[in-house]
Amino acid sequence: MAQMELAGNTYEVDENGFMQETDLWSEDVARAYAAKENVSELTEEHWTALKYLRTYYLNNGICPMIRRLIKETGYNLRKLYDLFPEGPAQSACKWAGVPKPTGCV
Amino acid sequence: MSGIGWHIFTFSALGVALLLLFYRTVRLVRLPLHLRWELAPIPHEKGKSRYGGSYLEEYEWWRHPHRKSFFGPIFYMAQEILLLRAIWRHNRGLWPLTFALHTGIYLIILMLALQALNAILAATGVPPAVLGTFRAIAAVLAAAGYLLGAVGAAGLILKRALDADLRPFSSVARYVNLAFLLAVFVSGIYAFFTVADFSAEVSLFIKGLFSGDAATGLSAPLAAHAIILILFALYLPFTGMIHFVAKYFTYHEIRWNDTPLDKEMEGKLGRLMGQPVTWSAAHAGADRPKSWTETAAGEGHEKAGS
Amino acid sequence: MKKPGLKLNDISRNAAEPLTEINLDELTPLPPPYDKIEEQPGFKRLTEDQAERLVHNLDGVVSTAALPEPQDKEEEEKYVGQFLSGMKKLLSKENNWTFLQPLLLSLDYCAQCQTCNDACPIYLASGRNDLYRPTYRSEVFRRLVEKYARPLGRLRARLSGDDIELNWATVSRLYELSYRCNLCRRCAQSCPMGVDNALLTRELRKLFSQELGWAPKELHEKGTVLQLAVGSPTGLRPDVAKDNLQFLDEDFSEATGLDIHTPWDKKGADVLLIHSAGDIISFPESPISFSVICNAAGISWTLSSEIGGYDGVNYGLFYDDVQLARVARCHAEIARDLGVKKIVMGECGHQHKAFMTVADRTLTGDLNIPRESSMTFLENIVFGGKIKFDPAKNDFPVTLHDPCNVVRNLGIVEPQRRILRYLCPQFREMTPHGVDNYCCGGGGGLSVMSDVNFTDWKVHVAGRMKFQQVLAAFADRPGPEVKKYLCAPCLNCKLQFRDIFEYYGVKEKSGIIAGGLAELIVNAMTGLKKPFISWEDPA
Repeated sequence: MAQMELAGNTYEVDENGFMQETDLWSEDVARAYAAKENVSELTEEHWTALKYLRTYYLNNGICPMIRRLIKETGYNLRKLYDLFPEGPAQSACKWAGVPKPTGCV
Repeated sequence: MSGIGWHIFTFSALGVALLLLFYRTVRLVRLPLHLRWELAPIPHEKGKSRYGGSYLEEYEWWRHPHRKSFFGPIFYMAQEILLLRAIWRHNRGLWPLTFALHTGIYLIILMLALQALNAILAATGVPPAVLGTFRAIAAVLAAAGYLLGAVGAAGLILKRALDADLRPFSSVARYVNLAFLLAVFVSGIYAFFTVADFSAEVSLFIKGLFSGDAATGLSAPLAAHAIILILFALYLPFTGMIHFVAKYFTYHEIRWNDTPLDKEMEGKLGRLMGQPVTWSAAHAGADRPKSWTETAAGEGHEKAGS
Repeated sequence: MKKPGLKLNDISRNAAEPLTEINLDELTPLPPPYDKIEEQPGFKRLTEDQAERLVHNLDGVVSTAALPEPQDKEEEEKYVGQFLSGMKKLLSKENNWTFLQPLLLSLDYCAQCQTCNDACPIYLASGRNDLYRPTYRSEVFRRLVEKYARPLGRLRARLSGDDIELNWATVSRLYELSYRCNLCRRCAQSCPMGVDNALLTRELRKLFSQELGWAPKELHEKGTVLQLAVGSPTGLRPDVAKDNLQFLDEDFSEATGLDIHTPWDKKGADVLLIHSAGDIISFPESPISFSVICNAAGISWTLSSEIGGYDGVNYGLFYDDVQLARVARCHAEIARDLGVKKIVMGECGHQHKAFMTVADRTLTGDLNIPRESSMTFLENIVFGGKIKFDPAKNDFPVTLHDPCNVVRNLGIVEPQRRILRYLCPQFREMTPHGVDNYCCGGGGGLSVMSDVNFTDWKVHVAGRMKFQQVLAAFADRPGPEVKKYLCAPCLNCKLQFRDIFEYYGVKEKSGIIAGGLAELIVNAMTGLKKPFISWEDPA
């Protein structure tokens, strides 16, 4: 298992950098992930998306589909890519401390 | 060799060879029913084999009888056997040599068959002129067969040894097989061009074998050739050169085996699925002895290892 | 760099050093505008930390991060011993009746003529790297079987010089090498003997999985195991699946002006349709299209929200007979309990092959329910007269990717073409196509494997020939201003295309998107407010 230093602590991550113990997530972790992708500050819009994503995952065991994320946040795909450089599936899920999606997705 | 030495040698060698061939064929036949693993294009699909279509293209295919072509597979196999179809299409550079080798083999077999027929007909009073014609044809087949076969076998030995693609994969067995074949053809060429009347001598010899004549014999060059040829026939079923049998199975039993589950299969499957499974991984559940069915049906909704 | 003249027994040497390395300039070149290597995304190498922790002795690519590295000689011998015990079981009737005859024939009758290599898209794309020859992997396996499982094997191996040492290097490399094959079976098609290298690859994977418990986590732990536990390898639970599709029904109804409703768990319906559940998440237009089409045609149909009933994938097809049978039986039991007349495969290639043919003989008794392809199902509807179409609505270049598992393995070639010829005025074929097609590069389970740097190998090597084909099929109208559609009726193929297109910026540079067949059908329906297919991002 790989490890990553985020916000002063060491966390278990998979080889793509996704947190393995989602309960250990905190807002600082999100900021640390963002900083690694050269996003120095998380705005209100970032948090809207991240909070929705994380809550959905904790309730449903899976990340929300893009269409849902777009509808709930009101951000289109271009905006999501502006906010999250690697896109909603890669960046946003990672910053929200949610595991990498598996299977045919 | 004198007396009935030839008879003992020939028939015992061929007998052992046939028995072993039979044994290996039966072993292949008796392998258990396997899961479907077909591959398009399947030539028995009527009207569709041109593009590789199957009966699964039919709407609700189970409502219609499966329309199969009888001649499709036969035509396909004829092309494969006589013209080395797959090599022609997919490995053209290799084709001339392997075609020469195989055609050489077929011509020699044909020649021997013709001589055997000749021997039988001679006993039934067929006019000598007809027999003479058969012998003449046999002579042509022999010459062509030995020459083509020698070119093929020698060429393939060289190709395997020199071609960077083939050399790392050509095991010792390949060279041994080809060298043995080469010996058969070369000794045949030598015999053909040194004995007085090749075809007549062969004809006489075969007649003698059938009739049990103790005076059966051969001149030295032909004797050498015959010994090499018969030893090759004995050697053949010990090797992978019996691919002429195996191909029946790889094509008909596997690639073209698209039969859906039926009652006869269910009977066999019942027995196969009742056998014990001993795979060690946790999800295969070999913590206790289990049958295949139990393994497949049992822990459908459990997590591995629980 | 490509090691010249890689020998078979190199596989057993220098356990820590990779046998080869992937360099983009050694691969077959791509056509413009993708020909400049400097403009392509580089090949992701392992970090220093990863190189220390992970076994990467094959080609510097890692499919399975969890592959254990032996700490001492004893552990190494344990794995070697397990490999040997697995080999014996693979050759036994009790443990491997499922594939014993094909396995023995492929092991014993290879003439080593090397005809199969030029048929392999991975071998060709790699620039003819010896390591990726179908025969390299098969011949190593074959010689190990000869040596350890046949009479006088060790003696004959030593005498003949065909000896391969069985040690940690061999075992670990064979494992990884078995995941450098798409199981596309082009090699099998070209073999004069009928030998099947893809079969040998799968048997190797099966040995590792069923005996040592080694398999990529995406296929096993987060694959078949997760599917049998919660319903889908995506982690999609029954309630979430239903909820998602309800959301999609509403969302798309709004967008199209149609009244879209997806039925669930209707006992006694004629048809149980099983999608690949990943489509619900990643390509929702696909399941919605089926809902639109089936309802418009008045079909009596249903989805199932039972665990296993809404996800037709069966990764066991790729690596493990036990899991293959479990998932197949699970699907069949659900259909039986619903009392449907037939099961229709969604647009998922390996679902077709696993459920309709390979696992067919495991579905004994009342599990033997008629199973049909979505290709024939859709063809019947399109030409059935109940729905009106206007092909002019699909007036853009369309080409067809043939999923290996539907076309080459099942012989289902024409139905989807008849639909496309009717509904797509600018339909053109790739070369080669039909049963001679190239794999998308995601076959054999590779599509869902993305750990470490595996995606780079999939995209750059496995998918390269296909990428060339796609570009060539549209070569007459290559620019991004012409919107073009790559029809790929298989989710795993669509995922692979998505990965390739993302890496190379294909949508921006060439204007190509990939999608399924059902969407094209809906797009041609009269009565839609606006086009169903869009080249714009979802807003």
